[in-house]
Amino acid sequence: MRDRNPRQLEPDKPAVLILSDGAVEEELINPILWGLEEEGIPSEFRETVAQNGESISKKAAYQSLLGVGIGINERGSTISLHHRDLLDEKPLFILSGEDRFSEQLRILGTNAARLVKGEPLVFYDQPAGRSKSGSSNPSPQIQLDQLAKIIAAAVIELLPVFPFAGESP
Amino acid sequence: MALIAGVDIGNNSTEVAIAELATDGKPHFLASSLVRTVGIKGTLQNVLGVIEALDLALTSVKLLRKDLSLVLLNEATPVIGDVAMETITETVITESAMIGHNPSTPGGEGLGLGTTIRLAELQDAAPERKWIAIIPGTMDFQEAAAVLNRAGSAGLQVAAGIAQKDDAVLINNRLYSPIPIVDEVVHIDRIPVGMPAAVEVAGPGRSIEKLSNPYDIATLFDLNAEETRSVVPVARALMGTRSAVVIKTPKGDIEERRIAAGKITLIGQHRKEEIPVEEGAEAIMEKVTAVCPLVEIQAEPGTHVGGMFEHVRKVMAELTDQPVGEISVQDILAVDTLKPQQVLGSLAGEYALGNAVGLAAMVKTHKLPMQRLARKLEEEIMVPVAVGGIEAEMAIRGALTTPGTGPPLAILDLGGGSTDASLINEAGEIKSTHLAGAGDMVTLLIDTELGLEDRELAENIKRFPLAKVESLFHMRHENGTVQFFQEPLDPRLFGRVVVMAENGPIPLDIREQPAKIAAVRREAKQKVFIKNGLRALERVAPAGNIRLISFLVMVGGSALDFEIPKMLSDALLDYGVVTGRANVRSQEGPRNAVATGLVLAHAEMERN
Repeated sequence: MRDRNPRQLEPDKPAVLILSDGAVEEELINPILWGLEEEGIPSEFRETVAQNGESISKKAAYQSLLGVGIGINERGSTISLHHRDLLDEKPLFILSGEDRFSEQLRILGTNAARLVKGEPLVFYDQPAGRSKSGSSNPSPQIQLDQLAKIIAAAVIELLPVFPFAGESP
Repeated sequence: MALIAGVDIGNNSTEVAIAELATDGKPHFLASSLVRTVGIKGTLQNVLGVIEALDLALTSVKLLRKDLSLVLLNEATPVIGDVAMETITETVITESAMIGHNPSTPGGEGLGLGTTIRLAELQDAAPERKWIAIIPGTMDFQEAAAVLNRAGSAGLQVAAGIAQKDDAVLINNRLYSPIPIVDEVVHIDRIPVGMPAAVEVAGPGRSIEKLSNPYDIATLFDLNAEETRSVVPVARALMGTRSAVVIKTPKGDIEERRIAAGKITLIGQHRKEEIPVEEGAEAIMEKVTAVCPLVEIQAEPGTHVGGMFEHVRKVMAELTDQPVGEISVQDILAVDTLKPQQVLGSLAGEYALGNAVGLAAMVKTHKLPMQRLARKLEEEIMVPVAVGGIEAEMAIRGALTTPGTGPPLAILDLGGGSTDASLINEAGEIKSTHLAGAGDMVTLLIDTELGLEDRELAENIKRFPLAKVESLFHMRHENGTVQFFQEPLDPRLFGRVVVMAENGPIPLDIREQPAKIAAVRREAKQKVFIKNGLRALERVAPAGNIRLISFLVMVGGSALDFEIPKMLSDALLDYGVVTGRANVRSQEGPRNAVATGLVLAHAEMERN
């Protein structure tokens, strides 16, 4: 039997929605549900049939009142975490092949909950604790597109006042 | 008509001003530039940076090195500083006695009192007593819940749980009657069995009330007055946490220990004083004031401070080709700070705040070997190079080109290693001072108080404002403004406090809110920059009275900091001093003061 949180909420209440394309094993679903439960965020699991080319995780995110969904593809070949605001083809995390062991699945559930709560996410490569190397690892998107524009704008604005802005004290 | 260049080699940056001297001797400034200084100030490596800066300025006005008729170097101030931290108290637990930590998701709510027992042994336990179950990580949460439920049905009273894995909510959700459970206790095997213990979990948004109060601990464990005194460090360490465990062990002890951190010897012109570092910054600074004027400061070898003193003296000795014995530390700044330290003998990696003293030291010699540098530069660029006036004098000349200023004018340069101030009075006399403690000290304090153990990150926190990433598409800056992004932000930034550094946001692995981190940063700047700024101004002010300074201009990189100018301006408001950032030659801001001053001084000399 699927182990369900005894205090599970009714359907159509705010919850992270987990959709699977057809039936999948319990071993795949349960760790995800536990990850969510430990973080105190309600979840809802349903089976569905994917339309051609449809992103099932995106569909789950859309249908979730919390805007966060997890999609499990055919027989669990890939599992992805999606957010309503993200593009269809760009889920936040994708697990596939050998990534799908229990610990990784539970982290996926934890992260789905934390995405709802706005708390820092957990990464498998740096489980708990400190991430000293994380200091110089900014997102490529921010770095290239956004930041260049922001800095350029700031520099143009500041240039007449401080011609050499940006040096350390 | 002659083309001359003023070059200022600083600790961090090398600056150039290029001017054309008209036939009447008036300088007409054409270009300026700034590059990072190569090597330690005063060494031959500097030449590379100087050439780069010269070329940068020259190409901007389509001129060549050979067009220059003279290059002027500053007589750089021969000052180096360094910083060190001495921890003076630590919390030691002998025989584990407490766990106070903040797992993100503890289970249940309330207070449970009982005797510790391993979950596996629960079935044989006595029914008339209350128990606290120790749940090892090897046991699945479903199994743990089942064991606890079975025990409950059999009439056993389990008051609370202590779990090793992050399972507290999962276990609690499966219990017939919920109990408070603290989880993520790493060293669960160190918990003594058969001992009286209390577990407290507070509701969301609240912190524990009983186990953070010594008298409640005394009530729970029936302690006498003497024993209550000894649990104070426990109660203090548990304040503000959401969950905690306290275990009473027969020989268990928690003590706050003072660590001997060595002595400092202050030798003044008239008297000599010795003071142990563990007495704290206030006591040290009091002695410094008492002994003033200082001649030399010595630190006990084998301590961090002793090591730091040795290091600065050695660097200076190498730089100036003098024996180490002839170089002495002339000023120190001590600052009290708190350092989160892992509790020795802890069960879940608990931290307690230890006291620490941050110390900055400064050495000064007569002259840096600038002539040697000038000759080398001359060889490289084939243009005559001269060493022009004293740095402080040149900086004042440059600063005076700021519109709206006039003597008595003071300049303040909050650098990396030292805080420098100079004053020019109506008669044109210049007085200057160099004090230990500046930017590097602020970085050290931030690093220590936030427990980062990462100087580079602390440096970034010092230099840039914070923000909190609130969704995949927006962040809230520390001043409350919200910034939206077209592309989703890196998931590693999500939900975190980030430093808005030059190369993009850097996530911080700290659970504190941005306001708390910003407060640590501002306090560090207050303790060092503002305190030292005032200390320096008092030394140069007429009759030691800051009120007699009419104008104060800030020069150098720190004047560009996003909050220091305001903090300094606030501090000087009461003194009636016009305080602001320099605007050298009406266009350079707080930069280029010395380079500009060199050119001006030379032009004046030519005219006469």
